[in-house]
Amino acid sequence: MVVVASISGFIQYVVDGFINGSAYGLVGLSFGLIVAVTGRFHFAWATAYALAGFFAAYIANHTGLPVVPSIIVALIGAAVFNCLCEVAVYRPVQSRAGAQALLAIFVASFGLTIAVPNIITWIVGNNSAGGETLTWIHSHPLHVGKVTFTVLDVVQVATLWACGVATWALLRFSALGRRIRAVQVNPGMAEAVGIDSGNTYLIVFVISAVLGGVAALFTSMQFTGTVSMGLTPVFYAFVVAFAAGLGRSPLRVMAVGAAIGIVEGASAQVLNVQWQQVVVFGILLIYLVFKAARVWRPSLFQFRSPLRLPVGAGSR
Amino acid sequence: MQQFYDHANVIAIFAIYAVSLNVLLGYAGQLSVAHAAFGAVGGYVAAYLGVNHGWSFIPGLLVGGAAAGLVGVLASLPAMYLDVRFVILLTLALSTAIIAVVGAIPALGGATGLTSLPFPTAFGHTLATPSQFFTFALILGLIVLAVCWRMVQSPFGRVLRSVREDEIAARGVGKNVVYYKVTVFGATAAMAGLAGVLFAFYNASIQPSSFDLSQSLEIIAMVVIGGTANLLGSILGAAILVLLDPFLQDVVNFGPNTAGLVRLSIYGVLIVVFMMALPQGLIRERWTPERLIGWVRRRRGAVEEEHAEPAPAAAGNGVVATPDGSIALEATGLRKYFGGIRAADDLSLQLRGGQITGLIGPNGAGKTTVFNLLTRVIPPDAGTVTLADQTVTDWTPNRIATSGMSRSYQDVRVWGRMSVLENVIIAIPHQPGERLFNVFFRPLKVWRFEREARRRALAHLSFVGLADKADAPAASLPFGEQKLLALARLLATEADVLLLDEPASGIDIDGVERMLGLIQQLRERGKCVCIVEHNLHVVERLADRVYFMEAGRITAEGTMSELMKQERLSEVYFGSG
Amino acid sequence: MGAAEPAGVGAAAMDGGGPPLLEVAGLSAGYGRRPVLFDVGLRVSRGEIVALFGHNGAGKTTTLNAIFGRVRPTGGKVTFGGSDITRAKGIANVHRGMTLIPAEHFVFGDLTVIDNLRLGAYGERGRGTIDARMQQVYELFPILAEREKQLAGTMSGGQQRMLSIGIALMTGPELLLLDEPSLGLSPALVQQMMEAIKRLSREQSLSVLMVEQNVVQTLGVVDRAYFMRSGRIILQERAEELRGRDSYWDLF
Repeated sequence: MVVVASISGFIQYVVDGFINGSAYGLVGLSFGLIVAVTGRFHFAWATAYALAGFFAAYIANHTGLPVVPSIIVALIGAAVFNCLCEVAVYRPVQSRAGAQALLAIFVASFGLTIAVPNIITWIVGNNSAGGETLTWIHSHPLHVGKVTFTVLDVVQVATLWACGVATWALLRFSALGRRIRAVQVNPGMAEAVGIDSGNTYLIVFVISAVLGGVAALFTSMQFTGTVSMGLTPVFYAFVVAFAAGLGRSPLRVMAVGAAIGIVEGASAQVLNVQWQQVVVFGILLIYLVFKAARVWRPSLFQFRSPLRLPVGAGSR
Repeated sequence: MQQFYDHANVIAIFAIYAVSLNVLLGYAGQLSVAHAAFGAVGGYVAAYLGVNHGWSFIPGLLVGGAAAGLVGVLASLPAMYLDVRFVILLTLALSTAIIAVVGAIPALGGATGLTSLPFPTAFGHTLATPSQFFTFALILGLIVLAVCWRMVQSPFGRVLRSVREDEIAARGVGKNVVYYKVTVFGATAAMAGLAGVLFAFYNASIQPSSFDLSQSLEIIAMVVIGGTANLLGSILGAAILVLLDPFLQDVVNFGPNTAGLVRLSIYGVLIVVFMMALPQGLIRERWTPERLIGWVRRRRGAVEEEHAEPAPAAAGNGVVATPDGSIALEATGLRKYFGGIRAADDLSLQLRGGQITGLIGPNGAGKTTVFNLLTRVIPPDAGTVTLADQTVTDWTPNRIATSGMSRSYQDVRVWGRMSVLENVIIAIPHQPGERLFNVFFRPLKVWRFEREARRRALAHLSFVGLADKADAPAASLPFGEQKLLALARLLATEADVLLLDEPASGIDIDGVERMLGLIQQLRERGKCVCIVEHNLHVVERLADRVYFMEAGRITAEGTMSELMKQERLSEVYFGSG
Repeated sequence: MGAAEPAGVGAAAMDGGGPPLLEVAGLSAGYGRRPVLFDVGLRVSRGEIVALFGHNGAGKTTTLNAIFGRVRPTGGKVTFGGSDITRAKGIANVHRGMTLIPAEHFVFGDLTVIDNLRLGAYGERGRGTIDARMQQVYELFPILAEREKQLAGTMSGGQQRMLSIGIALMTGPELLLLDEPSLGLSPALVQQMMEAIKRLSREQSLSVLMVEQNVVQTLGVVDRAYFMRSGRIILQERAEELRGRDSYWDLF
């Protein structure tokens, strides 16, 4: 199955992988933020993603609204959806479910992911729901040596990384970022200084919708936006979020996403297309097996001593 | 009529999926999203053998099931050492990987899969029509149901439920948790494999998309809607979700395009509404037929013969391994450092049979760490622990618990959803019914021991005074009685060395009195008891000897009155002026 | 020797004088089906430092939690500054001027010292007030100023404790609820911390209710003390009387 190709062919794969990986990183960040801060397995993230990507295109194509306002409306819609999930579904389920909360929320989230896209399809009609393309930034091809990419690719990578960096800066330097990290790191102390965890959850859901939505926009531009476009990204989001570690720096998440994208892309060198899918999940499986082995026989698998935090440090 | 059988077949297949997943999810508490993927393993193995090698249906079925079971066992091994969130991720990755692999192997037909599977045949009959297939599917379904039922009703199933609720407490009474989890993963994966084979041969074709993640999630929804930890509920859940589609199709009369959309929308909304209204599922765990019969009987005033007073031989449970006064447990030079913190520093102590030893010291002195080190919950960095002449420093926690030493917990850790009696029975050691092999192939032996175990458990409950509440769920007991229950559970392990972690904390004066009386009786029976306590009154009344700990070291020992006279100790405990 | 007073009732002659800032009467509370507190009563006046002693499991932490609003009382009444806060939640109480520092996990480990302190001033808008408070905290605990940029989780236990008090001060409280502030600290550090608390209380009329096990070192700082056992208050004494006792073994 080894396909012999030139070096530049390989570099092309890596570049394509990096472009994809930038999106993997951002969706991982978007999803991981929710899981790290709220603890909810928000599977309906896939729907928020699709709402942003699909409706930006749909509104731009079918109403008189120009592109930029369409995008804004779509992102707001995704944010509102996320908040509704939290307030109208997750909180009631949690208060009733007791010990089963994690599972019940996950299943409810799954139900939402089935219901909402189908409701939207019903409203806008099959044709639209099957694909709307957002025409905005053009795909002029560019060349560097023998490697090809487009203007859109460049804008995509720049924007996605800018979002990642902006999130990092927000969390690191702003009061809002401190508040979010406080709730994530030590909800008890957050309460002690008067921070409302519930409102913080909502803020995080909004940020997540915007980050994921931006990534969705580019898919709508490159290909098409559909109501079910979130189903594949949500798995990459899962993988990247957990592989990078929940609650870690956004820059690290972006880097892990890029790495996964590059590995996936580079594997095209040696694997057929069908097997590429296996690569990402294969990586995840190996990572998890390794993690388990570390717990089973720590001495064999330890690379660096774990950072020991003394008694007072909060931890989730 | 054929349409009825068509529905019935699909329900039967998904009932097998749902019932087996319920055992894994509802009883063992393992959240797996790979259940349908195990169906893919079974289905593809059987289909491949049928199409390419002419295997007939039933051998293919068995091999498919076995293959799925094997994959289940292997896949579960990493899950033993991972946090529960990672188990979800592990099964997620596993599911996607399996589907991707079967979709990529050329011999398995790629995305279109294998078609033209031969007609299934069973014992000479060809199952050509839905009604014929249903006869077989129904029988197989009933077999699976019976197997699952037996599994969860047996002592094995009882341990599963305890692992689900509190794994640490299960280990504390000597259960090898890994064995249970791996076994149940493997068994349920095998059953999913059988369902996968049925599915493939019913449709005479097999594609990867029939076993993907969304299918696994639907099966989870069936289990959750029908009620976790209730097998009949899973059949109901499967029926509801399978029939929902056709039901809506008949009732909802839009055009063909929109009909499908509305159906799916309502399907999704219903799942959400169910979770909001009834997150515990339609049928609660406790609503089993046995409970129903028992309830009916009680209303009719029938006599409960099962709970007759146990024989007065209650006093003689367990062999006293060490005569009074001699050393039952010895720890020498124990050391445990966590980073820079010295939780235990060259610590040595001796516990004697027929004596109560107290372990006191200010907060942070490391008392609970000592218990953890003795029971090997955490491994010491150095030092040895000897239990009645055997060096147990390297043993696993559950081995120690079944060899004569066990402990209670500060926060009690009873299994709230299980009955008081069940809490105690689980702790009875060496039950044949805990091995799955015995459950199915030596039922008589299991039954006989179960009667004996019940008798013993009731004796322990009488000792602590809870025999009349044997059937109540443990969570319904007030805290003080939960502590008594925990003590009864501890006694059921038949350990001679009992480590009690704050037995008197958090309960009122009367409860404390009761507990003290019981602990004194244990001493009279020759048990070796060690208590960690902050309530110095309790220590003064109970302990024959007391060890005083500070910062990981034992700095004084003697009787309580001797220690109280030492000014230095007063300083350490209450602070210096 | 001071005679044992019935639990918090009619103790007007015993307190620091002046109307009580915090008043608790007949408080009962628990976790789920487990009742922990039975008819607990106590009071703290403005500028008073009051200790709550007792063995582990006596219900001291639950008392603080019930006052602060982390645990819902099943009976009784809690009044703060004249308002009934029995049913109030923690966050609302922070805005009223009360905060609770727990016995464990009392800093934001993954954040820097200065971020920890900034979080304390979360509800405060005024730049000037925030800066002034931070100055105050740095004066009190100079080591925090030195290690502004250090991650809180990498500091020693004592330093983290000081930081936790700093965070509490940033909220601008009138009443501090402290749960075992001396836990895990060396006697010298405990001394330092207790002195800082005493200074604060005198200079700013700050009231403190602290749960402690370390009787002797705490007695040097508090005005009054309550003793708890098995969910009830068994004794209330002034500090001077307590200091005169031979031993405390019978109180635990």
